[in-house]
Amino acid sequence: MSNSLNEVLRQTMTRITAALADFLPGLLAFFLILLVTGAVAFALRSIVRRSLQRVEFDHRIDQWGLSAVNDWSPSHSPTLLIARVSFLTVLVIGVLIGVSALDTRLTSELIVELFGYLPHVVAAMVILLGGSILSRFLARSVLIGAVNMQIHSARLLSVGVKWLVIVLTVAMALDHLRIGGMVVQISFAILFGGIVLALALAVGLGSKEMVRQSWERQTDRTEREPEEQLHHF
Amino acid sequence: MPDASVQQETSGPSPAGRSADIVLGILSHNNADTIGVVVRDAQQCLTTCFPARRTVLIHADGGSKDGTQEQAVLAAAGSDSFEQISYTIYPAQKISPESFGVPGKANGVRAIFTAAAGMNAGVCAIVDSTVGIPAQGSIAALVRPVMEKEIDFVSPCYVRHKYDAAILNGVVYPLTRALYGSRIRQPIGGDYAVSGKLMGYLTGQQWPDGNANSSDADAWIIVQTLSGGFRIAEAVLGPRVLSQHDPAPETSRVLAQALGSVFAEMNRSAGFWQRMRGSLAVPVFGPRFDPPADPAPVDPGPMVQSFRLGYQNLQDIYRLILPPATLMELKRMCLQKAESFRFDDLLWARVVYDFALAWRTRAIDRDHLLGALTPLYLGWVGAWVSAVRQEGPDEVQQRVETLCMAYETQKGYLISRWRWPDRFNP
Repeated sequence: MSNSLNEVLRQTMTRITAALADFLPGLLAFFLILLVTGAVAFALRSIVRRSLQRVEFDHRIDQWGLSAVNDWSPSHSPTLLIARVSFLTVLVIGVLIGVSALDTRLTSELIVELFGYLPHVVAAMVILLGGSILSRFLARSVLIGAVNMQIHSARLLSVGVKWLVIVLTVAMALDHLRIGGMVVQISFAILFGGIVLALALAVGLGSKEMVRQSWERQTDRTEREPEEQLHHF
Repeated sequence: MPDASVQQETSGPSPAGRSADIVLGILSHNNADTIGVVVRDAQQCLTTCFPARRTVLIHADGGSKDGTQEQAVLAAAGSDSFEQISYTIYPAQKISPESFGVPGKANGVRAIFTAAAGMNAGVCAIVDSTVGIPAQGSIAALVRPVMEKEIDFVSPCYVRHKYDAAILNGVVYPLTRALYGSRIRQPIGGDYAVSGKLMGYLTGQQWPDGNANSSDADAWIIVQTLSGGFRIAEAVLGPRVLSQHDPAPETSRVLAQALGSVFAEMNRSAGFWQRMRGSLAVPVFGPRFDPPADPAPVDPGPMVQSFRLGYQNLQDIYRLILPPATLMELKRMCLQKAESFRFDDLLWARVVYDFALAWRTRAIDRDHLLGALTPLYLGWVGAWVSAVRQEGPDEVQQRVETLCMAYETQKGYLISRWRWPDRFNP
C-alpha cells in the first residue's frame, strides 16, 4: 500500500517536474523579451520626445488648429502623449510576443486573434485622426466664411459642422472596429436624419420670419449696391 | 480657336520676323462687350500719337468663352499691325473660383514680352482689359516716359475718388513703399509700360509658377523691377472706366488675392527689403487732372459691425497671429461707437505686418489667414471712411502720407519679428 502510494507520488512529481522543465524556458523567454522590449520602449520614448521637442511639435499642433489634442495629453503636451503612446505600444507588443513564447495553445490563438484585429485598430485610429483634422479645418473655413458673410451665428454654424464631421468619423471608426454592428449605423442614420429634420423644421417654422427678413436685407443690399459699393482694389 | 479648358499653344500668325518700336499687349478674359473699344482706342492712339514709329498691337486672350477673341479681330478690321497670340493656361486656373482677372496672366505677359523682344521693340506696354477701359490717351502717357526719358518701368496712377481703391491706399501702397523704398501709388495696377532693357531682364528670370493668379504676375514684375535697380516712374492716367463684374467679387476674395501676391513676393525678396530704409519719390509724368467729384456718401456702420463680428468670432485665430498687445488694442476698439470709430495707423501697420509674418510662418492655413484679415480690413476702411468724409483731395493725400509713414516707422518691428518670430512677440 505504502509502496504504491510512493509510486503514485513519485510519478506525479516527475510529471510536475517535467511540466515545469517544459514551462520554465518559456517563462524565462517571456521575462527576457519583456526586459528587452522595456528597454527598447524606454529608448524609443526618449528619442520620440527629444525629436518632437526639437521640431517644436507642441507649438506646431497649435498652429495646425489641433489644440484640442492638448486636452487629452498629459501635462497638456502632445509631445508627451505621443512619447507615452509609443512606449506603451512597444511594451504591449513585447508582452504579446512574450506570451506567445510560453507556447500554450490558448495564448497562441489569442495572439493570432489580436494581431488579426490590429489592422482594424490602426485603420480606425487613422480615420479618427483624419476626421479630427478635417473637422477642425472645415470648422475654421465655415467660421471665417460665415463671418465674412456677416452671419451672426457663425460660431454656431462652425461648431455644427465640426460635430457633424466628428460624429460621422466616430461612426466610421466604430464600424471599422466591428463594434456595435448595425446599431451604430442605425443610430448614425437616426442622428443625421434628426439633425437635418430639426434644421428644416427650425427654418420652416421657428425661423421663417428671420429667413424672410434676411432675404429682404439681401435684396435691399443688392439694390443699393450700385451707389454704395466700394471698389476696394 | 484655342480651347480654353486645356493647355493652349501659340496660334495665328507668328509675330516672329517682324520688327517694331512700340508693342502694345492687351490681355483679356471674357470682355466681349468692351474689348472692341479697347482695341480701337489703342489702335487710334498708336497711329495718332506715334505716327513715325512702327507699332504692333498684340492681343493675348485668357481663354474667353464669350467671343472676346472674335470681337477683337473685328475691331482690328484687318490691320497689319494686329497680332493675336495665345499662351499656356492650366485647367486649374480656369476652374478656380477664387481668383479673378486674366487666368494665367504671368504666361500671357511673358508671351507678349517674348514676342516684343523678338521684334526688337524698345518699349512694350501692357493693358489689362479685365480691369476696365483705359482712359483717353493713357497708353501714350505710359509709353512716352520710356521712349523720351529712358525710364524702364512706368506704373499707372489713376485718378480715383477718396473712398476708392482702399486696398491700395490702406495696404498695398504703404506696404510696398515701406518694404522697397519706392513711392509707387499703384504697384499692382494692371497696366504698365516697360523698356526693351527691362523686358530682356524679365524674360531671363524665373517667372511665377503655372498656378500664379493675375495679381501674382503684377506683383512679381514690380518687385523684380525694384530689386533689379531699374528706373521707375509713374504716369498720371486720369479716371478709368472700371469693368462691372457680375457678380461683383467679394471683398475677402479681392483682399486675399491682392495681399497673397504681395506677401508671396515679400517672402521671396526678404533679403532685399530688409536692407532698405526710408522711401523715395519716383518721377511723375502726364497731365494734371481735376480731382474727381465727391462720391456718394458711404455708411461706415456695416463695416465697423463686420469688424466687431470678426473680432468676437475669430479671437482663437487672431491669438495665433497677433501679439497680446495688439489683441488688447483691438478689444478696446470694439467698444468704440461707429460714428467715432478710429483705427490707429501704427496699429494697422503692425496688424498687416503680423499677418505677413503669419503668412510666411504658415501660422495657420494661408487661405484662412487672408480670410481672417477681412474683418480687420473692413474695420480700417470704416475708420477711413469716417475720417475722410469731410476732407478734400489734399487732406486725403496727407492722410495717406501719414499712414505710409506709420508703415515705414513700424518696419523695424516687422524686421525684428521676421528674424525672430518666436523670441520677439510683444
